Amino acid sequence: MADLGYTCLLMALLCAVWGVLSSWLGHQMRHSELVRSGENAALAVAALLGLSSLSLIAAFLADDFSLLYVAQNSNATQPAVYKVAALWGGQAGSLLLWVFILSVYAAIVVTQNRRRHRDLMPGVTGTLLAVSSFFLFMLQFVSNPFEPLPRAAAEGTGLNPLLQNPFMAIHPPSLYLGYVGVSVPFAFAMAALLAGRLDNEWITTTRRWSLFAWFFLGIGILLGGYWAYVELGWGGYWAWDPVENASLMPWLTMTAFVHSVMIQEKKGMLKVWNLLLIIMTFCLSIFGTFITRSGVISSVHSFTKSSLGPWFAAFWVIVVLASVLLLVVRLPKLRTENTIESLLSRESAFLFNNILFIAIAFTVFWGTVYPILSEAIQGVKVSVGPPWFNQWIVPLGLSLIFVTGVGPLIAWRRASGQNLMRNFRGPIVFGLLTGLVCFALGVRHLRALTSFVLCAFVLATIAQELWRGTRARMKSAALGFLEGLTSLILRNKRRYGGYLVHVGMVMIFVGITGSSAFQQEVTTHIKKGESFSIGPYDLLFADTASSHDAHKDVLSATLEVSRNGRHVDTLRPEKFYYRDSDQPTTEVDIHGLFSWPPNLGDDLYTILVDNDPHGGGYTFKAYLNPLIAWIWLGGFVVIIGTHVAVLPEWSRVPLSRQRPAMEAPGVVS
Amino acid sequence: MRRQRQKLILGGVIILSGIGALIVYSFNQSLVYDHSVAEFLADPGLQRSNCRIYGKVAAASVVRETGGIGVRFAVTDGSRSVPVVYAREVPDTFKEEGDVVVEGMLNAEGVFVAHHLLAKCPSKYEKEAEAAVRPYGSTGASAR
Repeated sequence: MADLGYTCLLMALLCAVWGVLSSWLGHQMRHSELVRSGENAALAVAALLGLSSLSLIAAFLADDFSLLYVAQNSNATQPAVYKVAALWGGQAGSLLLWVFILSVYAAIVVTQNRRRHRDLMPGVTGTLLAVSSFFLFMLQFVSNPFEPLPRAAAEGTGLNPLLQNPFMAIHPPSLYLGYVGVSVPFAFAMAALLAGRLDNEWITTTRRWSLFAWFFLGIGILLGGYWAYVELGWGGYWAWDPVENASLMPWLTMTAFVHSVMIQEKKGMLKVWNLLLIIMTFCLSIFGTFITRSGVISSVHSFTKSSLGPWFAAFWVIVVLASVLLLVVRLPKLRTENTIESLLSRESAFLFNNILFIAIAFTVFWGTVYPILSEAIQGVKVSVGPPWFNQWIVPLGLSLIFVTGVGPLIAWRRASGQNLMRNFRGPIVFGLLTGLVCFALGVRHLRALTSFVLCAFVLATIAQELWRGTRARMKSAALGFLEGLTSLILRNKRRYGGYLVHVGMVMIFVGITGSSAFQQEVTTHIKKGESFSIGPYDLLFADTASSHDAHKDVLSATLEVSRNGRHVDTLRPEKFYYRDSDQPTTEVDIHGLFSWPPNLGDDLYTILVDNDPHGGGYTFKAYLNPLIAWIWLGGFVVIIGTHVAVLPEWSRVPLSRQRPAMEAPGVVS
Repeated sequence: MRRQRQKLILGGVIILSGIGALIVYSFNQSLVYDHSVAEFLADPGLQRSNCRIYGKVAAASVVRETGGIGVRFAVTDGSRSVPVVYAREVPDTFKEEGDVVVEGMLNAEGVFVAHHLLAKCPSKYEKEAEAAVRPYGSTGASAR
C-alpha cells in the first residue's frame, strides 16, 4: 500500500512539472495542444494524489506501524474516525492533504474552463501546478508521509488526546479548504498579469472561488475557536496564539479583497490594489501553512533544524518577488478609470474598510513575527501578550463595525447632506438609544458601550435597507410582507447575502464584546455537599464518580446548577487520565448554547481542576462568559448569508419588471 | 484627476504609516523578555522588575498548597534554581522535570511570585507535530 502511495506521489510530481512546462510552452508558441496537455496533467495530478491519500488512510486503518508517520500519529486502539483524522495530525500528512485539495481545485478549474478564458488558462494551470510542484517536491524529498521505519513499531504513539475531539478533526481540513482556495483567485490574477488581460475578467470569474476560500477560512477559524473553548479549559476561545494568528491574517486580507473587488467591478478603480490584496492573501496563506507546519513557533532553533523551514522560506520569497515584479511590469496597463471625489462617498467608505483590514492584519503580523525575528536576529526570546493585541485590535475593530454600517448605505461619488440624513438619522438614533438602555442597565465599560452602540447602528442600517426594499417590492408587485422580502433577497442575492453576513458578523462582535468585557471567574476548593456561586449561578457539588475504559480513567464531579434559586442544569466536568500519556486532560462542562433549553445570555463554564486524595477536597474553577453563545450563532448566520450570496441567478425577470428593485437606495452590486 | 489620485495615495500612505508607527512604538513598551535561570540570577536589575524565566520544574520540588489551589516549586536550569510560588491552579501539562515559563517578580524573601505560568510537556510529542497541533504556550497549557 505504502509503495503505491509513494509511487503516486512521484508520478504526480512528474505530471505537475510537465504541466507547468507544457502550459508555458503552449502559451509561448500559441500551441493549443500543449496547453491542453498541461490541463490534462492537472487532472492526472488530482487522480494520483487521490490514490496516494487513500493509500495513506488505508495504512492508518490497517495500523501499519512500519510507517514512521502512522506510528507517530495513531495507535491500534484509537477510534477509526481519529485514525482517519490522524492523516492531518502531523506535518507530512498535512502537506499531502494541502496539495491534494489544491489538485482537486485545479482539476475543477480546468474542467470548468475547457471552453472559457482560453487566453488565461495556460497561466492559471501553470500557476496552480507550479505551487503543487513545490509541495510535491517537499513530500518527495523533505517530509515524506510514506517514510518506512527501519523496524516496524509494535504500537504507535497515538494522536495527541487534545486532538481527539470532533471539532479538531474537522477544523484543519476546513482551514485548508480556505488556505488552498486562495490559490485559485491568485492563479487567475497571475494569469491576467501574464497575459496582460487586466480587465475585470479574472475577478468576475473567480468571485465564487474567492467567497468559497473566504468562507472556509472563516469557518475554520470559528471551529478552532470553538475547539479551544470546549477542549482547552481556560474559559476562552482566542489567545492571539501564533497558529491562530496565522489563520486570521489571510482571512483579513481576503475580506478586504472580496469588498474592494466590488469597487473595481462598479467603478474600475483599485485595480493595482486588488492584485496586491490577492498576492498578499496568497502569501499569507502559504505563510500560515508554513508557520503551523515548520515548528518555527516553538523556537527558531527548531525551525533551522526542521527540514521544512528553509525550503518554505525560499518558496515564499520567490512567490513574493515573482508576483510583485509581474505587477510592476504591468503597471501601465492598470490605469484607474475613476477617482475618489469626496471623503463622504461609498468609494471612500470601501477604501477605509480596506485600510482598516490591512491595519489589523499588519498588527497581527507584527505581533506574530516579531518574536520569531527577535530570536533569530538578536538571540533574545520575547513574548507579546494578548493585552498588546487587544490594545490595537479593539479600536480598529470598532472602527470597522462603524464602516460596516456606513459603507452599504452612503451614496456613490459624493454623499449629499440629504442623503446622509435620509439614510443615517434612524440608525444613529437607534444606536444611541441602545447605548442609553445599556447604560441604564448598568454597563459602564466604555469599549463595550461603544461596541454595543455601533452594533445596534449597523443592525438598524440593515433593517432599514430591508424594510425600504421590501416596501418597494410590496408596492410594485402587490406582494405581502414575507413574499416581498423573499423576492427582494432573491433579486439581488449577492447584496442581501452580504447583508446577512454583516448581521452574522455583528452577532459575533456582540459575543466577543460581552465575553471579553464582562467575564468573571471563580476558583474554589470544596468538599462534597458544599456549594459556591458565580454571577447569578449557585453550584452545589453533589457527587463524584469514577469510571474507566480501554484508554483512560475518568474522574467526574456532579454540579447541580441553579440560577436565582431555580434549578437549571446538571453539569459534569471531568478529568481524563490517558494510560499511554502521563498528562491528564480536562473535560469542561458548559451550561450554554448547546444545553437544553439553550442558554444565550451567559455561559457557565465549569472545570474540575484536581482533587486532594488525602483531604477529600476538590478544586473547581468556573467562568461566567456573558453573550459568548452569540459568537457561534453569528457563525451560523454567516454560513447562511454566504450561501445566499453565492446562489446562482436562476430567475431572469424581464428588465422592465426589475426596475423598482433597482431604485432602492444604495445598490451595492 | 492625476493630482487627486496622488493626493489619495499620499493620504493613504500617511494614514497607514501613522498607524504602523504607533503600533510599533507601543509594541516595544509591552514586550516581555524571556530569561534563563542563570541570566536572571546574574542580573540584579532583572530581579527588581517584572520578567519571565524559563527552565525546568526541579525534580521533587513541587508542593501543592494546603487548601488545594496553588503550588510552590523551583525552576532550574540543571545547576541553579529559583524558588517559585504560584497562587493559581496549574495547567494539565505542569509536572516535575517538564519545561516551564513563569512570569512575575522576586519578593523580599527571595521567592519568585509568579502571576502567569506556562507549562509544556517535552517528552511525548515530536517538536514539529507539537507546533503543528498548537504551540503549547498560550492556548492549551496556559493558566489564566
